[in-house]
Amino acid sequence: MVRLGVIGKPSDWLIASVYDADIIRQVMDIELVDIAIDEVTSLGRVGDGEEGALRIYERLKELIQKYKLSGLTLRCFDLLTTVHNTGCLALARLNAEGIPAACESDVPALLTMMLAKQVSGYSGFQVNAARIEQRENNRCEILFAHCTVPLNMVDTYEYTTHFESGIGVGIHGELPVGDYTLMKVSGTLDRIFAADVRLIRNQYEPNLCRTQVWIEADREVADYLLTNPIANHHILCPGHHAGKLTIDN
Amino acid sequence: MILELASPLHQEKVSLDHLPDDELIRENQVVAVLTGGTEALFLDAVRRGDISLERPIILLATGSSNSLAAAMEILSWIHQHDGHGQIRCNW
Repeated sequence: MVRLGVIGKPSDWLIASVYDADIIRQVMDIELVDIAIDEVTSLGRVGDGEEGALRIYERLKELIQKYKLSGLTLRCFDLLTTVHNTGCLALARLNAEGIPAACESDVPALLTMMLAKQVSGYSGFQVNAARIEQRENNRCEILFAHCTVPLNMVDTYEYTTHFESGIGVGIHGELPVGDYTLMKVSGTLDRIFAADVRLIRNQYEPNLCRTQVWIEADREVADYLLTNPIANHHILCPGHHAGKLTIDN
Repeated sequence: MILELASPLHQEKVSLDHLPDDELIRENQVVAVLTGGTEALFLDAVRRGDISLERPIILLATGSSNSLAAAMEILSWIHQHDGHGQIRCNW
C-alpha cells in the first residue's frame, strides 16, 4: 500500500477540500499518514534565504525515510511564523525528484498529483486560478499561479519571495508552451475533472503567486471553474491525458 | 448590499474596480472575495446569518491577490452544503 504523509492539518481556508481516508484506502490503495507539523517546525528559525529553505527540504527527506512515504502534503503556512521560511523550494525539489508534494496539507490536490504522475510521469504543478477571460469561438484563457512549481517542469526559474508573506523562498518559473492537462479529483473520490488545455504564455506580475501561466481551453473549462469547481487547487501536468481520467462507478 | 471579504495576511491594497449593477445586488446575495484566505470569514458570515444558503450567492472575484482561488473554495463549500451560487469575474 502507498503511504502519503499529511504533515499538519489542512490549512484553515481549505473549507471544501475535505477527504475520506477510508474511501481513499479502499479505492486507491493509499494510506494517509498523519504527521504532526511539529516534526518540521521543531527546526526553529532557519533563516530567510535559500539555505534555510534547504533545511526544510532536508527535514522533509528525513520524514519521508522515517514514515516510508511515497508523497506528502505540508501545512506550509505554519512555517512562516515558526521557522521563518517557506516550503516552496522543498516541495519544488521533491516533485522534481518524483515524490509528489503538495502545499497547504491539501489532500485532494496530493491525490490528483499522484494521478498526474501516473498518466504523465510528472507530479504536476499545483495551481490557483487567478483570472479568467472569455474569448471568441467558445474558447477562454485562464491565468494560473502558485509560489512553487516542480523544477523538472520549467525551462528557467529564479528564486524570489513567497507572495502572501513576502519572506522565504518562492519560485518564479517559466514553463514550456505546449499541451497540458488540467485536472482535479475530489477527496471523496466521487468527482473528477480533467481537460486537455494548451499553455500559451508565461507572465510575471506583482500581487499574484510567483509562477504564472496562461492556458487556453474550451469555454466549458471556464464554466466549470466559475459554477461548480472541485474546490480551489488544480493540477497542471504536461501532455494531453484527459481521456485517461474517469471514475468507474 | 455587498459583503466585502479581505484577509489581513494580504498587505497589498485591495478593492473592487467597479460595482455590479443594482439588479444583480437586489436579486442576489453578493460577496466580494477580495483576497485569498477569506474562506473562514465567509463561514463566519453564514454563522452570523449575514449570508443564507437558502438564496443564490454571487461571488465577485478580482484578478489578483488569490481572490478567484478563494471564491472557488467558497463556491465548492456552498454546493457541498446544498446552496446555490456562482462566481463572476467580469461583471
